[in-house]
Amino acid sequence: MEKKENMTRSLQLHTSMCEFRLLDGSIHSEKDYADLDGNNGWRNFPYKRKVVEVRMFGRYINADTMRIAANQFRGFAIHFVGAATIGKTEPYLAREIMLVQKNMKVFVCSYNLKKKKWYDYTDDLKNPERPHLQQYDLSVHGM
Amino acid sequence: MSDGESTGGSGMIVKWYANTGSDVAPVWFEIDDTKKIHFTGAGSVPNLAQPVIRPDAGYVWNEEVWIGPEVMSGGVKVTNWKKPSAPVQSGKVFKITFDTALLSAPVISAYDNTDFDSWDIAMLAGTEETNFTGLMKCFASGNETVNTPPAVGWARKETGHAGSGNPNALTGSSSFVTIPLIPGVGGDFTFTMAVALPSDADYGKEGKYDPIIAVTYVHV
Repeated sequence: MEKKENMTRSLQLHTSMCEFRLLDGSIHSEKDYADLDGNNGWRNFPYKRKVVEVRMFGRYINADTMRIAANQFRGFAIHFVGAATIGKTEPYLAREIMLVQKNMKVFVCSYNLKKKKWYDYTDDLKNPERPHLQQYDLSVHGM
Repeated sequence: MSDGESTGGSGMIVKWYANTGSDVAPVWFEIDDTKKIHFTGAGSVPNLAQPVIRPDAGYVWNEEVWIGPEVMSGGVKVTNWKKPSAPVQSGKVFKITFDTALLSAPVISAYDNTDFDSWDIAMLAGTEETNFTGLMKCFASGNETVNTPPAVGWARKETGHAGSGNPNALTGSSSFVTIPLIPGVGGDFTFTMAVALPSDADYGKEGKYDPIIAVTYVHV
């Protein structure tokens, strides 16, 4: 009697997404929890007190997402790297890097791929409408 | 589904391998059911899969292929994998072996579930940039004994058509590759795959870049 069967394996294309490297060295992807663009996603992320690095890639990671993350992961080192559009209305592609270190220093810069130039983005964190960011030392280093 | 097991539960042993050597001197690494096939950007390491960054226009290929657990930890690089645009191509990238003779040529395709009845995620359905052909491309190169690597440039972003083809896009039962041989007892077939990432690919929410690759075969 003929038997028709299947053998399967899962495949994943690693593309614009977010990964979390935990203290134990394991990597967790965006889909391990919730929507990155929403405050609730960060708040509910179960591993946040263990995060030592966050890597973000994608063209739709906006400044609000980064600010929310800075708040939610307060006191832990976060590392954003990505080809991202800063803000939903700004048309240019930029490379953003944000570092929130354990000493509470925050560095935010953007890199305009077309102009090939780094921009200091840290001043935006002084926005009085974002009082939770005021406690940080806003020193900008490097770049 | 455990290694070597199939949906029919017949006990037939089927194994999937990736080549960490070369075409001339293959080193076959088994992809058992604890492992996943990771298509990544350049510079990945065993514990970190780098992303393929979407281009401003046109499309790019994945840069590397790795085999590892669900979240890549201790991954193994498939060093014999080549991009379709690479000047030298490899025929022995993946290999599937059968301990029982098949009755017909096996078929390989991709789905977004294990019921094998859906393939509408962006990665399989394609985008406007790819003329709505699936992003997963596949070429069957024969078997370990008689092997023909694909031609340079064997796939482009729009490669693929309805029904069977070689090469072809892998889009469920809509577009697939029929292996050009029927493995006998202890037989095998070899193939390669690549993913084209177009500029208009959707944001990587859950499942959209996470298909199931299925090999369908018939035996007694």
